[in-house]
Amino acid sequence: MLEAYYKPASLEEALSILDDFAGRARVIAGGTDLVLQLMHKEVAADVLVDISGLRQLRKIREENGRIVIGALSTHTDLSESSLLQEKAPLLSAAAGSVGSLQIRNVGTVGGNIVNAQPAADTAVALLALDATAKVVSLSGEKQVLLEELYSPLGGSNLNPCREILTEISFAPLSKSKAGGAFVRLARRKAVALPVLNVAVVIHSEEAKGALTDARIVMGPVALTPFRARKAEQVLRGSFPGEESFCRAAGLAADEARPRDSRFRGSAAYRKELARVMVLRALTIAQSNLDGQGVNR
Amino acid sequence: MKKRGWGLGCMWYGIGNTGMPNPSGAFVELLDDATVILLTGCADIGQGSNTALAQIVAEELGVALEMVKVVSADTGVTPDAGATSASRQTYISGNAVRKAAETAKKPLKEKAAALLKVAEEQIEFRDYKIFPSFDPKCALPLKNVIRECRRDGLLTLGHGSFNPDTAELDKESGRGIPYATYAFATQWAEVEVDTETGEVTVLKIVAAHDVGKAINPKAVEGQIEGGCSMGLGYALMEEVILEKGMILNPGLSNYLIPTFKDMPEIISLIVEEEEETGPFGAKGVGEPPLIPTAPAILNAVSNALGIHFTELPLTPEKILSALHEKNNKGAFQEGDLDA
Repeated sequence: MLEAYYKPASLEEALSILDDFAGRARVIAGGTDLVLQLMHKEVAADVLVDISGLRQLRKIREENGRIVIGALSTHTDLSESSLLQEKAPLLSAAAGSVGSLQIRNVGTVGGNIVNAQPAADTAVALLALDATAKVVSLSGEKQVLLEELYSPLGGSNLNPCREILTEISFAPLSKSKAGGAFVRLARRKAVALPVLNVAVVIHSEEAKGALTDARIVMGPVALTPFRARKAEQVLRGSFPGEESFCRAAGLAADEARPRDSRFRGSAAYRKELARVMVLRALTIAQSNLDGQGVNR
Repeated sequence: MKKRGWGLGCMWYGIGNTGMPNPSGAFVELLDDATVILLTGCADIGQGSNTALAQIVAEELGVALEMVKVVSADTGVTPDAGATSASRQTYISGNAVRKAAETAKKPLKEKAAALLKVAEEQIEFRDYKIFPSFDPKCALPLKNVIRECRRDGLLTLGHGSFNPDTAELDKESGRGIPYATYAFATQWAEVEVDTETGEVTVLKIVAAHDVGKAINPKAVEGQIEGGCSMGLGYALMEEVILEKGMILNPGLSNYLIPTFKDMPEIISLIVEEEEETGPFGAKGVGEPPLIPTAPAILNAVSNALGIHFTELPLTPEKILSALHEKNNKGAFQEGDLDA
């Protein structure tokens, strides 16, 4: 049973309530995951601190050359943002594929990250964009790589009883120098968890030149969203094209560690899917980089 | 690569319960102002039977549909109509309400025949008028004839019931008359198969259904489209996953049924081969639309890939596994990798 439900008017107030209850209170935003977890007793909390009134945490802006997204922005905000559609289309595509329209209207990008599900579409795309998270607590604020918020054993390193994720930022994909893609396969075409999702971002300094950087993230093939580091390594310095992409896709499939699932299919099937979908994502990212793609 | 394929599925299906009596009853009263009260035990569970049965009564009595007030599925007041199952209500309760309406209008028919000096068999009811079928201009207003009946102390009410003509099946030979009538249908599906992921997208379904007579064509289309959606789910995704007798997917979040986005364009072709024992020629359409959909889709996938599939649901993994086997790459097996 909940003892109390607070709706603070400021971030400072929210942090001090969390502090007062010393671990017995935790943050709630959209609640699309947390309410179910509380109901199924997967998460315990005596007190909830509802931060949905902190309107300054709901924004999507370009500030000092970076895209800054407030943690309370909803999946719908991300999916409909013209800024993201132009400068990080893979992120708006990923956000638009989460759950149902109602879930997307309520669920927040911050919650998607803190809940730390290995296949959270929005988070997978943000990891491919090499995003940074701003985390505040009474002891101050820190910028951490989004990746570092994930515990290798699953779950989040952020402590929702003490800390609040306030914003996420990343460098926009600059025209003709970077391209991204998000692809996803599910058991049906809407309102279904992914069997596999893949987000990639590739960088190149000159047209048709060697790739300077590449990030490949997929889920759910491990306890956290999974970076295919060997595949990324192979791409760095390689010229983009079928040969390097096929090699990277093969490596990514090798690295992935999906488990047999009665719902998602056998590990062997999903390894094969990983290969096919990484290859597709890289191909789309390349055509976006070349400025020929459908931009997603 | 994406491959397209086309497939057909055909079916015939008995209307009503198999080889056993399954009667339905109804009451109809025609009031002074031509309002009609219809009592039927038929449960409208969304398929539109309240509308279809009211249409049948309105047609029989020659009044507008809005005049028929339906009281249905209330065991306190309505007569037994049997279950809403077996695709039976339009055919069986449709006949029952039509007979009840026929009985209710009998005094009017007799009165009109006497006034018009014609035989009762020649009397027709339409647009609130009663007239000889050979001379529609010579018509009496319905309400006037009702008033004439009331003067004689005659009420216009009736009951009717219908039981399809079946005979119990012989226990040894299985012979008998299981159903009084049958529905027939053919569906055609067009699919696109992604040969690298095994995903199937159904692009179009054409569904031709012999319904005898479509009492309400829009409702028939609704039944056909709904059935196709169930059939598509049956073909491609619906599965109760059991482990040691426990259902692992007891909720709609993991027992997946098709969404709007999974459904293709459905072209319904209503075939009206009138059934002489049906109300205005009608039969049933409740279950038939879901029957040929899965075979049509599986045949379309087979047509696209040259592989015959015999297991439902046909998941992307089963398709990709069969493709790998065909190309000598080996099928997928569980547990052949570290977790």
